[in-house]
Amino acid sequence: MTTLPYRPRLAEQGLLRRHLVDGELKLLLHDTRVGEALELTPDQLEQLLACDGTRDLGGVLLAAARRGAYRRASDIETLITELAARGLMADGTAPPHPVLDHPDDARPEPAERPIEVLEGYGLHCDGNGSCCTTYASVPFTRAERRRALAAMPEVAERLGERVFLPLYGSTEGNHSSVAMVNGACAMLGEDGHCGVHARAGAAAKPRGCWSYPAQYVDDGEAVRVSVAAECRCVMASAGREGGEPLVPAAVERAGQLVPGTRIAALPEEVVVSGARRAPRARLRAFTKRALALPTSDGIASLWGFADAVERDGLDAALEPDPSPPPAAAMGYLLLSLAARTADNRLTVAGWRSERDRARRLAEWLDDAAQLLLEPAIQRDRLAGPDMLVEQERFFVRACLHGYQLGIGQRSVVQGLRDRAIRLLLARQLANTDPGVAADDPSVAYPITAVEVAMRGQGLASYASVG
Amino acid sequence: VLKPDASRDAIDDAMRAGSWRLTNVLLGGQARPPQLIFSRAEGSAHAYVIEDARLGVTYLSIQGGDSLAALAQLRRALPCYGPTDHEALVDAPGDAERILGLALVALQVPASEQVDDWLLGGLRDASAQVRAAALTAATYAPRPALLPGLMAIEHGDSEAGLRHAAGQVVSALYTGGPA
Repeated sequence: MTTLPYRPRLAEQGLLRRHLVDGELKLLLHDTRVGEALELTPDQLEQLLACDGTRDLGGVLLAAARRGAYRRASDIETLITELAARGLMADGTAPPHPVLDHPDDARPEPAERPIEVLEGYGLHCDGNGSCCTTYASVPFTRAERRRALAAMPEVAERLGERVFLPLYGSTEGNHSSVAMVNGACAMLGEDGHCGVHARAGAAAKPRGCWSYPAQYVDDGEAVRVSVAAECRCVMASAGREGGEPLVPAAVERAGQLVPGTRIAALPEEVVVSGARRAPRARLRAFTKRALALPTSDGIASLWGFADAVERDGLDAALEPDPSPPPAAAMGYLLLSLAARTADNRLTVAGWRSERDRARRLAEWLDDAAQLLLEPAIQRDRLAGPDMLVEQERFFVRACLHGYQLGIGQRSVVQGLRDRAIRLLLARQLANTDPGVAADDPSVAYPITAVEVAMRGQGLASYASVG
Repeated sequence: VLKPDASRDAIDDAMRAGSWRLTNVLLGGQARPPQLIFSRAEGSAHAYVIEDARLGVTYLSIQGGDSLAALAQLRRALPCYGPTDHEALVDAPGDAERILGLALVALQVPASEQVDDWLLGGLRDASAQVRAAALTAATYAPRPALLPGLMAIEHGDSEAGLRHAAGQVVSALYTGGPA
């Protein structure tokens, strides 16, 4: 029997989101741990927002009543009990978020750390707005919220109350996520360009938007700046001259970055594999050695690195251009991936519009993931990257430079293998009819479809098996 | 007083139908029983749903506004005991019925000689459980007319707990303090 929390709040893995789908309002509770989306009534949304961890059940009933969302105490009790049984409720107020909830002056900023930007990279953004139409969450701070609504008052007129909901859980704090219209940020104009940018300038946009796709990681010695390979522009910019630098040339130290830039930090000690741990400096040294090696087959390189690290730790000798792994070695991960894409396809079909990019991508990805279960197809895909060789080379570089290995959630070895599986899925996408996604910007850069779904649709949890 | 089949859902539904909004939820404590307070939109009337564990009943009380009309409306919407139901209950053969009857008597406002008679009857009941219920009911309307029954328990009851409780009520009657 589930115990009712004394002062309930929606746990951090629960995301409340408001979507307008073909003109119809959908209120969703995403369970990021299992990738499910539960549809809520407007009353249930208000009841959950009343569960902010400071109120006992009586207080929740009263807060719901004040919001006009109280019918029966038993309805609210049942809602909380059912969500608690799913592991979606917690007790008391939420602890501070390790990155979001630290005021800039309190966070141990690595002000003197040198900046190490992904070498030779400049972003050529084509402004097609695909990054605004894919993610389930577009975060805003309070100030960004005010600016955006001042620039786009028609959004509030169109969507009414609750244009923004808490970024995670049910506590209304500094960070929130904007409502989505057919899977796109509500601030996106009809011309496909950001309305806030158009009316108030780039600086008025949320921090996550103007810094996109740059990612900052403090590894204890430097702040590395890399890119998330989630958008066509990111991949199309690789190897091109010019473009917008990820960090202005004059910025050499972390303290010179725009105040409030979100810098993730590697933990002092990283999990290498199983029970093996190592100081983060060793991971830094490992990535430097790996980055110096040539890559002609991204999967072979990443899997080869994983094998070496699993065997000998982060100081392992690394083989340049190793042979591709045997298909059997990837079996359980591919099974898990196919199960996850199938679940996701079903989930998004339940509530997303057919016009929604995330839904179209979910179908394409699932088709490819199911095909990859065929041993003959696995072998074909593992044979080589074909025309994706340059994309894979860049992807491996961006991942290693930016520590994009899921550090904190999984071991370095698991992270390397996860990225190899992502490349395999991208190769299969390139060989799978995109169907309804045929005009998607990611068709020419299939790794971006994989990456955006891994983060935006929570597919990355497939790699948590084993 | 609500009948046992008046569920919390039924109460919520009746309140909603009567345009009452939940405005407070009070946990029970030493000084008060747990209660829900509903208010009319204009704040002129309050409905108290009081879970009285001592009497073993849940009852409604309306304050402010046209309380009689509001009470009548809620009585129609919820299963309640009628204003004279206690009369048959206090003389019923079963202990449980007599205990319930005494609980209803305790909430009779204003108390009367008839109420005193029913309470005295309960204080002299052969069943210790009924006497305990009568003693509890007496604390709701501690009147000198009840002294003979109370003193009889204080000095002669076979149950030590009842003797002690009766002594406290008697003392309160003499000193004017809380029973």
